[in-house]
Amino acid sequence: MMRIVFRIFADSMNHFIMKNLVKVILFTLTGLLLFASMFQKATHVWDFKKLNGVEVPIPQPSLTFQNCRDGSFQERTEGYLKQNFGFREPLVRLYNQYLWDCYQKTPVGAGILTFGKDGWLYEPWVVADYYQIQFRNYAYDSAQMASMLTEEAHRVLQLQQLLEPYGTRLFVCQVPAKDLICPEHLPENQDKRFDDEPKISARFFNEEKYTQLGVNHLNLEQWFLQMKDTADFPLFPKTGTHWSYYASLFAADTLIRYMEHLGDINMKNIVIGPRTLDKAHNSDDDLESLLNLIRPLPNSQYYYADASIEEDTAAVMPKLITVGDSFWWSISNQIPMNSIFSSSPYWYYNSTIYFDDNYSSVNEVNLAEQLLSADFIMLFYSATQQYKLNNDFTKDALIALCYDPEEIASVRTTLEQIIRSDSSWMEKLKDKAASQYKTLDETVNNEVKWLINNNPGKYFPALNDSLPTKRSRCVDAYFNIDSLTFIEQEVEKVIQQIKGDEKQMQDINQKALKYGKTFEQALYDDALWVVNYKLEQGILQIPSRSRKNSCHGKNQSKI
Amino acid sequence: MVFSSNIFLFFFLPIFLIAYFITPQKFRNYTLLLFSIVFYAYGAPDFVFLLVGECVINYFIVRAMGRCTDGVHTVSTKKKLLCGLSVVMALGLLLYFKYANFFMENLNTILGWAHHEPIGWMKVALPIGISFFTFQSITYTIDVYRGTTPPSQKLTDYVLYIMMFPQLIAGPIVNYNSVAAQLVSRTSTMEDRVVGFYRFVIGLAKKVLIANTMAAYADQVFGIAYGDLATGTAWIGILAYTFQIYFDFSGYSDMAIGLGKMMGFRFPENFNDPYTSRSVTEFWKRWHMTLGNFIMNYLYIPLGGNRKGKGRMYFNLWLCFLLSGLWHGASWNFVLWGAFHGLFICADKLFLKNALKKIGMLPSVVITFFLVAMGWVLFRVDTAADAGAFYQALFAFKGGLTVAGDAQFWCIFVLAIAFSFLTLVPFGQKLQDRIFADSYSKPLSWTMFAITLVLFILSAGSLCVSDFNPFIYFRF
Repeated sequence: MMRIVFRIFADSMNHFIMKNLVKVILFTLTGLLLFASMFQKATHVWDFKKLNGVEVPIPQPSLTFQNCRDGSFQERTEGYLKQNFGFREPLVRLYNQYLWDCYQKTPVGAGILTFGKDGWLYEPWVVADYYQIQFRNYAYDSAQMASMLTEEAHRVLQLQQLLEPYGTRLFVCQVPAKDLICPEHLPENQDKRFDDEPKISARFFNEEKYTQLGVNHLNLEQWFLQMKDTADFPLFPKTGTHWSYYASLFAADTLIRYMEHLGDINMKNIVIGPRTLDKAHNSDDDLESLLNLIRPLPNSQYYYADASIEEDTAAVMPKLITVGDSFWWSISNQIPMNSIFSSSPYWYYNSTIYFDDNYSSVNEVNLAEQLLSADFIMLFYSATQQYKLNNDFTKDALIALCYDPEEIASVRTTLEQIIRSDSSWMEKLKDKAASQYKTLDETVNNEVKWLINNNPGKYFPALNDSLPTKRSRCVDAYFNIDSLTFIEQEVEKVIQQIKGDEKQMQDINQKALKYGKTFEQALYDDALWVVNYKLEQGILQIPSRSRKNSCHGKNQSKI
Repeated sequence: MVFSSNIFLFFFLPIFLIAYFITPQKFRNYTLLLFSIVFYAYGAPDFVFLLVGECVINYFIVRAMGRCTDGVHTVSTKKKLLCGLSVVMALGLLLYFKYANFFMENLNTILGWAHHEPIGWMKVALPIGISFFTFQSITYTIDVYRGTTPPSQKLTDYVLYIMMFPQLIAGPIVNYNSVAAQLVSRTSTMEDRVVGFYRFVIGLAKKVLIANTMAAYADQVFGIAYGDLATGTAWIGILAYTFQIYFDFSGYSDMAIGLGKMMGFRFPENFNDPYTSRSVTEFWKRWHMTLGNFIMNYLYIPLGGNRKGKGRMYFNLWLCFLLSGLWHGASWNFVLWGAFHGLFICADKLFLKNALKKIGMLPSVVITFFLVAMGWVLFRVDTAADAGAFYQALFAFKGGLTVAGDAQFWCIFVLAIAFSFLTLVPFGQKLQDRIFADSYSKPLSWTMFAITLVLFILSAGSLCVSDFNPFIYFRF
């Protein structure tokens, strides 16, 4: 009986499927289309190449009654899912390829690229800067921008003069941007809104202002412009936004020469090896990689060379702090920095400090101590980034050098209290926190920072003096370091060096076993011996209470 | 949650469809209701209780009304009272949530003119979709009152009618009597589900690929001080907006109709090539048709329609459009937009329609399109003064282009024109009929699947790469 029923069922199903074959197939395909994304998200059956470019990851939110009611849970969930759904990578690449093939454009929403003539790629703000309308993103009009740039130039001068007696040379390096060096490939100005208004360009304004005020500065942009017709290599790549990898080597050499001149010292030389032609890589095709296309663009070839450092025992190795934008990566990735500088931390946009293979936040360091420990501080920004006024570095630095940490904390606390006691202000910050996927505390802190940086002289009046005489106790504390503390610090440095060397670690281990010590004791004794030896040989000197006045590159932390 | 979002496309919809189709037939309404409540609560958690509460109360009011027995030629007083109560409750909520801010702002402006202190008030938040569910609630009450349909036998069926997620946020406005039977019993074949999905994807593509592209340009143009606009830019800007609003709203309706079809519902069409209209009157028979029907059946006719003389008819028509404008948004520019259309509807009755008929099809379509586009200026700007400035920009004959569109904009712009006026030629009409058919021949089935696949991938890709995705009609 069961067999008959099954047979009838099977026959009727077979008849139904044969009669509706197309419908069945299409229904199945439609179902697959709908559920494919969820399936891929759950199983990750296909492993797609990650999308190029930096994306701020949106964390998966946890559901609470409050965040559901105020909508922040939904907002964050959508953001999170937008970054984490099945087939995202091929979908993005497919759509980008469609935009590229059909319209020669990149996604509007991202706003990361503009297409120039002859297949050249630019960042939109680089194009805007060429047409001198970039300032509209930072100021209401050109007069306001001029005022902001003038104030910043004065702050740079203040900081330069303030640091000089302590042996720290501050200088500005104006980094070339693609628009000025390669304007012939720029697209026409699409944004005609401000055609009739006065315009301003930070690069030209700053150059004039620095010269007028006597700010130490090196204009690599002008130098690149002069080189443009004579250099037998591209200064900027077609599909990258930074200077060409090869050209940046020459820029680095010029920078070293400038520091030698500024500090009246002798530094080691960079040796640029023989060049070879290769297809674009590293930063030379960084803009193309952002296109996230399926098919790569026809690529140009560029020069690449190895850089080494000439041995020179008479040369000094200063500490350099670079506060700047991403152009520095091309240099720091190619040049063996540790062979030229005793330390060369990179304060990326005055936010994250990269040193050796580590990184930390600028908020985590003793700013005054860091500034005083450096022999050179370089403000290294390309033209389009100069509107950001050194990312508030000068303000932070002046405050840190002139005010005690307790005084700074007190101002911050007062401002925080004012903000937190204002319910409407807090409501706005809550919205801001939700939209930026930040915590409320973080957003309040940023608001405090914004208030201070918006008008530093209001909260720290000493900054209103042309050259502030007030000093933070950190400045004196830095130079009044006693010999015991100094030796302890040096011992700690040597310990860290040993820990980074496997062979030395094995030696210490053997010594510990041989003399019946613990490993830590043996390590400390060895490091202390090294420091004492250096002191005896005069390689190391306990700093006096006087200000440092030459480039020693010693007694400095790595960051 | 909007249909054109990743969370809806890749999570909510697949999960819902699995849950819906594995549920036994007789329990499917509960699944749909549950997901509809989640859908609404996701976007407006605070208001979901208000909406459900209103539905429950109205259900019992209307059920009590349905039990009232009328005389031969008279309607019982109790029935009238219950009907009034139901309508007042629905309209009261709409007036409070949608128009309280508008009222207070205007009152304070008047007080300001009279040198009085403004009255302080807490801004009222707008529940999503209130304009649509209020009207649906009213159609239910009035249909039962008129005896067109009996009251719903199950509370959950009624709540589902109001809250069904495909049409909850932005319509179409579905009359209760047109879906009452489907709420109780409906079937969806395999073909319905596939064809419904095709319709959904077509709507998605209209919204994401066409409307959003037009919106990006229109927003740029309307973001510039109108005094600075070159005439060409102002014209392209308003045309971009004209196409944006059509493809945005009709796309959403297509998505709602497609989703309904996948579940076996037959929602009414909401658009019928409105830009091919030969008069403003015809435009309103083709644009947002379910709203037009609502206004006709539940406002114009109760006001007396054309039964009380010509003067009253013109007044009724004009008032209906004025209120229709206000329904679109609590702002004077929407009132002006309604009044503008009301004016041309009256003019049509008086002479314009006949005059347009005489000049031939193409000129009448062009003139009507021009009038409609002029109306959209009022819809898009914030104030009457802004509208004046924009009209000035349109006719100032200032040369050049303030905002040059890119290749994508121009390609999509041309496509938008082609799709909007396609049915003016017989071939276009035939093509459209075949695309929006209920069933397809085998070759057309494959073609439609291929088109749907491409549109779905492009739309999904566009949603992935772009954050620009606002719906114009979302907060009505």
